[in-house]
Amino acid sequence: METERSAFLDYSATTPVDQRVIDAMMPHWTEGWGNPNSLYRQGRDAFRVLEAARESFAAGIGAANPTEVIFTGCGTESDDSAVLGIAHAGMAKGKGRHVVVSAIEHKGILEPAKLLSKQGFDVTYLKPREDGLVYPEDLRAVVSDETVLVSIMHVNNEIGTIAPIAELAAVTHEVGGYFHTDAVQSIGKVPFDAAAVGIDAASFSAHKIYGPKGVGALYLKRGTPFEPLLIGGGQESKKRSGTQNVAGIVGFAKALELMLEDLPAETVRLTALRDRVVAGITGSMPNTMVNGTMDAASHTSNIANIVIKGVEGESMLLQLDNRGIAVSTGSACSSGSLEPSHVLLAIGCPAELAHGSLRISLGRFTTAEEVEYLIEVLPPIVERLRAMSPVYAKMFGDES
Amino acid sequence: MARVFVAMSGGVDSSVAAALLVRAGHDVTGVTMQLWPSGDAEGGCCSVDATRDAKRVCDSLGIAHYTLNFREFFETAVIEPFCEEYAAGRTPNPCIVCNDIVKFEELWRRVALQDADYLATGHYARIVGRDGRSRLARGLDASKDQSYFLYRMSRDQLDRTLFPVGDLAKREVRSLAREFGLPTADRAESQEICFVPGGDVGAFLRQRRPEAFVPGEIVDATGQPIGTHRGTPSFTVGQRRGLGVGGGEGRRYVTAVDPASATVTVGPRLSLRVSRISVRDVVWTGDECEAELDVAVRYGSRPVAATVSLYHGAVTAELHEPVEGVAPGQALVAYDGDVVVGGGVIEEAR
Repeated sequence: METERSAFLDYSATTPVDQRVIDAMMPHWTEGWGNPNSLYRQGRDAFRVLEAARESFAAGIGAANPTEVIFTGCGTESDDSAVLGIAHAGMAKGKGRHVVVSAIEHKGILEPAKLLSKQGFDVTYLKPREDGLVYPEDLRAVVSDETVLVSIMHVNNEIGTIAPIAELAAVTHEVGGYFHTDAVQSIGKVPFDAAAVGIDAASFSAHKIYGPKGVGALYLKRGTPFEPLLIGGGQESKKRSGTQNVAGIVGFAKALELMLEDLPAETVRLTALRDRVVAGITGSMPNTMVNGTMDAASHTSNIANIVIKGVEGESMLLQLDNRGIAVSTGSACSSGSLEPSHVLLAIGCPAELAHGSLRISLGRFTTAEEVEYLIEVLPPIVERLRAMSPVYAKMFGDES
Repeated sequence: MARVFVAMSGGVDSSVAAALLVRAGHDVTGVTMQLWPSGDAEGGCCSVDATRDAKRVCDSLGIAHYTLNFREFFETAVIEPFCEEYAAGRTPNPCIVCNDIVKFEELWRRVALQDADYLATGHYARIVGRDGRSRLARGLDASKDQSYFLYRMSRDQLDRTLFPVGDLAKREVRSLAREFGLPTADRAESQEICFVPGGDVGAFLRQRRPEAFVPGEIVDATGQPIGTHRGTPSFTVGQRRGLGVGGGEGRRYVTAVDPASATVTVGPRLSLRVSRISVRDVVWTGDECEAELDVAVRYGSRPVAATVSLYHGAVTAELHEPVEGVAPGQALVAYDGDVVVGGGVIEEAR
């Protein structure tokens, strides 16, 4: 096995914890271990730390007030809480039973949406156009005064497209609904200002931005109807019971602060690396295709999704893993199993091509050497796999 | 040193197979096939627990493990034909189809793309006479022998396959598992059809093929109606339970299932005895057109001496003593001593 050289190119799956984040968290395990809900000194100390982190995080996402930030256990918990909590509470307040989610959402949104339909809600799965974007006029065509909730993700985790959330939120508000966005892949990577764009709720996760796993957050604009998923001791303004993960939350706030400091410079650096990946792969072999728009205003700097026609993503992933390169194919979420990606199918990519997609996602520690290593190793792998593939010979026999 | 991929179910046999290959110095990778949606976390193989066990074993051996998605392929290659066969009044053996089409063809294709030299499994069977002359033979542990499930393997397939536990006894495998410190040493084994929840084939078929359940009559050997049933797919030749026709003289057994007329025929135990079996979909490695061989008519059954003749691709076996409970759809496998000569799907037995 050639594992001397390696490349981690799957930052959309997770990220290493930044040493500066570890340093920020450490004292809150070793010394400041109090329960922020306790009345005595240790509790007050932990409370102060927790609330400082909340203020810092709230400022980072552009919340008007720190109490609009609820810390949770992960991005999925934030998604589940938002979809179920707003739909149920909104309906209880006399709104209708109609919910809209985009067809390219993360499973963290799609599964609670499915649960809502079982509970009698009417759920619309809004398709993006072939460029991977959900258009405000397409949303306008499906909402009505029955619509209680619209949830459309900010940056798509597979293809990196950026949804126009300000316009989508405005369309939702025209009919009196509430707008949620899954911003797990966007904070710190593209500008995000909750109050300015006028959204009602948003989900975040720490481990996508060099923070710890097991920490998430939910932005809930004041006045947004909400029914908690976790009930108990009434922590987090009764919106999420359970003792807060103080050290993890401190790490999350620190991680966001670091992301925002670096945002302008990182965007430039990662865009250049991403463009090199795309050019290196599509330029060195025939019959490839880039998924989703690459228009700078609508595409995040760190994700490239490329279909390599006539080759199964699984075969490429295993071959690359054997050479120390980590990338993703389809959706990497379900215990390593490989399904044709629902995101690619929804933007009109045929199933046989969706099987051959690679998602390459870059981040803080990605180097030009890693990118060049991928570009050097992938074409001969693809050439061999295509030579062994009867499908490829049938599809492109004359061209290559 | 060879590059070997091991098909791992999470069970003790495939775990020890992987460990033996690692000990022998090969470049080993574990793979688990995801065959059907794993809604049940604690089921047999393919469940979340089983996949986790396989990963844990690979981790303890210091080798890579991958879960490969076979859901669509398995549905088309195994589950649909399984339902089809039952609807046609036969009793299929899906494990044989799975080995033939899923493991040693499609899984091989996918690991060959990873530069595999061999595919290994935890089957109790042996491959004798390598290098283009490979033959399949019984595993040394007669009580565990699984060659019946593998009889369709071609020489090409055998040439690229390894059965590392085939010359071990089950108790040796368990003790090796403990010796290797494998996390799955004491895992219980499953005997049921992996994709049928709770082993209830009738309920599974009713859900998948409700239209195949046409109520009809249960008749005796003379054609006299003696009861009714809710659909032929619930019945297998040789079956005694669940007939709902008590009384009369002695116990009665299913002797024939005819979906076309929705009729289930029953008779006394004696009428289950057959001695002439015809077989279709034959695979054969023997040279002679007629031979004295031992035949097995279902998994685990005692082999019976028979005169087996091959004519125009069809096989007929004349058994030297009658056997009971031969269900059309199951396999007949012919052995010369311990070596598999060939076999096929039982078409008719009388």
